Order: sequence, then structure tokens, then C-alpha cells
Amino acid sequence: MDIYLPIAELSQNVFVLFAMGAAVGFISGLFGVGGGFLLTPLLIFSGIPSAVAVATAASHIIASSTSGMLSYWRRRLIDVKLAGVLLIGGVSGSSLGVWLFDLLEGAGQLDLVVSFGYLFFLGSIGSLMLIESVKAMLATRRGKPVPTRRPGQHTWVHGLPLKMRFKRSKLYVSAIPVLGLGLGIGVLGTLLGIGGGFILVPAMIYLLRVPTSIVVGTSLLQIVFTMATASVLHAVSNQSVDVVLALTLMVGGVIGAQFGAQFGLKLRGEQLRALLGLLVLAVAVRFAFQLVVPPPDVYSLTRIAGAGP
Amino acid sequence: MRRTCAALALLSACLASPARAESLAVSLTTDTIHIGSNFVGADIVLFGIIGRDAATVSRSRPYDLVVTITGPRQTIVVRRKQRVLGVWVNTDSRTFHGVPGYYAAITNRPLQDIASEAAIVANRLDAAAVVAGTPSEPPAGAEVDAARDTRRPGDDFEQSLIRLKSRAGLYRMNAAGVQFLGQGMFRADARLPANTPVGRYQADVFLFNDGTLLSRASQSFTVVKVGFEQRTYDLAYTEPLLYGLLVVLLAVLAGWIGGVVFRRE
Repeated sequence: MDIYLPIAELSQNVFVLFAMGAAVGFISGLFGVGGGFLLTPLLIFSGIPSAVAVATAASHIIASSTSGMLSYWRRRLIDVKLAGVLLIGGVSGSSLGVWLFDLLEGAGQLDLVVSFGYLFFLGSIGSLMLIESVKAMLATRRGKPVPTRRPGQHTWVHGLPLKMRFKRSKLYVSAIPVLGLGLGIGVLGTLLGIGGGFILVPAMIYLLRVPTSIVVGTSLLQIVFTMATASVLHAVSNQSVDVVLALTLMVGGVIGAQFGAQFGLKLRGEQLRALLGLLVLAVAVRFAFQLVVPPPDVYSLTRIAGAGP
Repeated sequence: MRRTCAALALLSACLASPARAESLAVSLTTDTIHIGSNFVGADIVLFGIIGRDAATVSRSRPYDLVVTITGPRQTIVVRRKQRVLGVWVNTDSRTFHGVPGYYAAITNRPLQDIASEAAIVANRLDAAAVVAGTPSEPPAGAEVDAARDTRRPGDDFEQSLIRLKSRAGLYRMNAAGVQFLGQGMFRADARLPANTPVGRYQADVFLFNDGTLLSRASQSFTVVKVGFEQRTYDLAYTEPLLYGLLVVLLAVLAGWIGGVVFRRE
């Protein structure tokens, strides 16, 4: 059964879209990520114009992150002040991202930047995750204790000025890296159609030294709001958000996420991280191929908006 | 109404040709195509009649018909990738202003056997002629070839535009799409794919005999989104802020409902 997507202006099989949403939802429930890094490429490869794919994936990330965020909220595992400062950076980043997005689309280089962005960020994060988790697995097998983070340890980040106190996270750090992190995630999220949780979570743990228990909920809150801003900005500036596509994906995604989360309870932390690392790396490799392998057709068409009826 | 139109067309065709060439009256089976949520494309059928009377010259050869369907005009950028430092990058481009978003040429036998090159170019009877006749501009700094319009089959950008549009099902050639039903009546069948653009379409019918254009007629129709699809599209373009907020609200609601329904703790 095909469904007509009014903004993308083409028909897609509703079951394929639903399955795609469910599969990505399963992954996001399993690993506790938004799943944008999988969904956006999947949509692009299935023939949805990249502008629509990126803009619509943002709303899917909101849906899949909201239920997680609410459950952390109920357990009071969110540092609202930290999320607020991240958000100030995030909202500015989103605006910057949408501006860049329109600029690149006009110049015909959006696909290239999206490919490079995925290759670079997914490639590096994926490799890091994989290496770290394999080391952890080997260490446990040899019976050695896994080295844990020492709470008192400081990095260069803690030497910066403009310090703020975040009570919930028991942190006293400069606002600059927090704002910068939010800004970076905002730009990336808007430009690449990803929530950025897989970058934000490690950055908060290793760079800011936020306690692990607080990290996931706080990053989810930040992602929901950054992606909400991105959705609205995309809708206003390039009219690329397809509500029918978004809804179909969301329904699949929300259901898939629940099964993913249940399945995730059966796996150990480092196994999960290794799997996620492999997955992230696979997507990066797919983009690398696209950049290097000769395209089936070196020509492509883009319709300039506004010239239509 | 449609009958009146046909009668009027017939009348004007008669008046316009004192040499008593054949007249041509055509009618489409529909004048509006609706795009709803289950739209997977549409078939359009054009019926016509070749009018002859006692004064019409007798023809030794059979008639030929060319039906072209031209969709709404679009501005399209054709980009070409080249390998730069091992990576495939869009390097040059050309912008076509007012190229049809949909184009079909339907004939009763191969076009080359019906009309001369000059007639094909003059009446825009194939996609190459249509694209070559569209004003286009290379990006600033590139050389402009002034004599380009007359050249066939067109350069790489023009050919690629046609190839990619054809692959998307938006440019079509059908050398067996016109059927003669007897007594001067004929029908032409065309297919609009699911990704066909919204807007005004024109069907032009050309009657040929032995390579000579005898008569032509045209009829237009529109493709519109209806109901939910139309309202969604309108809202996205006229009230983008409201539309964006609605999408966000829907997403939050979906996430919240999912969380409540499958609550685990």
C-alpha cells in the first residue's frame, strides 16, 4: 500500500516506511540513542530528497527521545540547569545549522557536506566506541578490574573562566565548553539530521565529567529541545518537513523503541557499546563508499523551489 | 460544456483553414486530476476526431498523429559530478528556466517517420526539442554558447536532464500510444507517475500527413492535491511556523503516548 507524501511529492510504501521507523526505533531503544544517524541515511538511500530526509528525521528523533526523557524526568535524573545552558548553545547552533543548510543546498553541496559529516563524526566516534568496548571486554575476560573514572580528576576544560555551579551534577565548570558543546550539537543535528546523542553523551562524560547517571536524561532533554528548534526552523526556512512521512516513521519508531529497550536489558554495557560502535562505523563506511566510488550517474537534478505552481 | 468546447474548436478550426484542410477536435476524459493520500499516478485518455468534408483534399497516405503533454514549468539545476582529490563532488551546473516538469510525446508510429527534424524542433515534438528551446544559464564565469538552441541532440546537460527525467518517469515517449478507432476517430493514452508535479498541463495534438502538418488542437487540464494533502501542503507553505510547531507537538505526543503505553517501571 503506497502513501503519498505531500511535501516530498512522491509515493512510498507505507509498510516499508513503518518498518524503517520500527527498525530505527528498535536500535534507538536498544542503545539509548535518537537513531537519526541511521534514519536520515536510510531515507536518503530509499529515494527521499535529502532536504526532506534531514528535516523530517528531526521530528522522529523528538518522538523517540521524548518517552526516554520523560522516564528520566520521573526518576529526577536530569540536570535542568546544565540542559538549559546546553540548550542556549543548541538553539543558536540550530539556527546556524539551518542557515548553512540552505546555503549549501543552494550551492549544490549539501549532499557532499552531509556525506563528509557522517564519515568524519560517525567514523571517529564509531572507532573510539569499538576500541574502548573491545578493551573493556578483553579486560573482563582476563579478570582484570575495568579501570573506572576517578571523580576528582580534572581536564583542561576545568581551567576555563566563567564558572558555573551545576548542583544536580555536582559540577563547578566554566559555561564556555557547555555552550560550545550545545552549539556544536545544534549545528550537526540540523545539518546532518542527527540528534547527536552519541557525540553528546561521551563528551559530557569525558570532557565535563558529568556523572553517568545524570548524562543520559540530560542529553535527551537537550536533544528533544534542539531537535524541536531544528524542526520548526526547517519548516519555516525551507518547507522540507513532511508530516505524513514523520507520522508514519514515528508510529513505527515508538513501538520499535520499546522492544529495543527490553532487548537491551539482556546485553552487557560493553557489548552494547561494541555493537553500537560497529553500527555507527558501518554507516560511516557506507558514506565513504558513496564519496569515493564513481556514482552511477555523474549528473543530478535539483528543482529550485518557488518556481513551481 | 465539454461538448460545446469541442464544437467551438471544430468551428474555429474550420474557419481558420479556408483551404479546407482537415479539422481536428479533441477532448480529454478528465480536466482535473486529484492527488489524494492513495495517489499512485493516473492515466489520462484523449479522444479526438479528424474532421473531413466534401471539400477536403483526398490523401493517398494514412494520417499520423503526435500528441504532446506538457506539464507545469519548473526551474531545474542540472549538476555534474567530477572527481576532485579522489572524491566525487558537484563541480559544474546549468540552470534551466521553465523546463516542463512533465512531458510526454505520444504518436502512432516512430516520430522520425512522421515529421521532419525541422517540424519536430519548430513544434517541440520531443523532449530534446523542448529542452533545447528552454532558456538556460551556466553558472557565472562559464562560456555561453550562443548557437546552442538549434543544435541537436543537445549537449551533455540537456541530454542528462532528459535522461534523468525519463528515468523518474516524468519524460515519456510512446510510439504506439495513439490508436485509430475508425471513421477519423482516435484515442491517445498517457500515464502520469506518482511524482508528477502539481499544476496546469497542456495536451497539444498535431495532425500530420506525409510529413506535412495539417492541423493542430489543444486542450488543458490540471493536477491538484485535494483534501488532507492540499491542506497540509498549503499549511506548510503559508503558515510554516504553525506547521513546524504542529509537527513538534505531534512528535512529543507520539513519544509521550509510547512511553505511557509501554511504561516499564
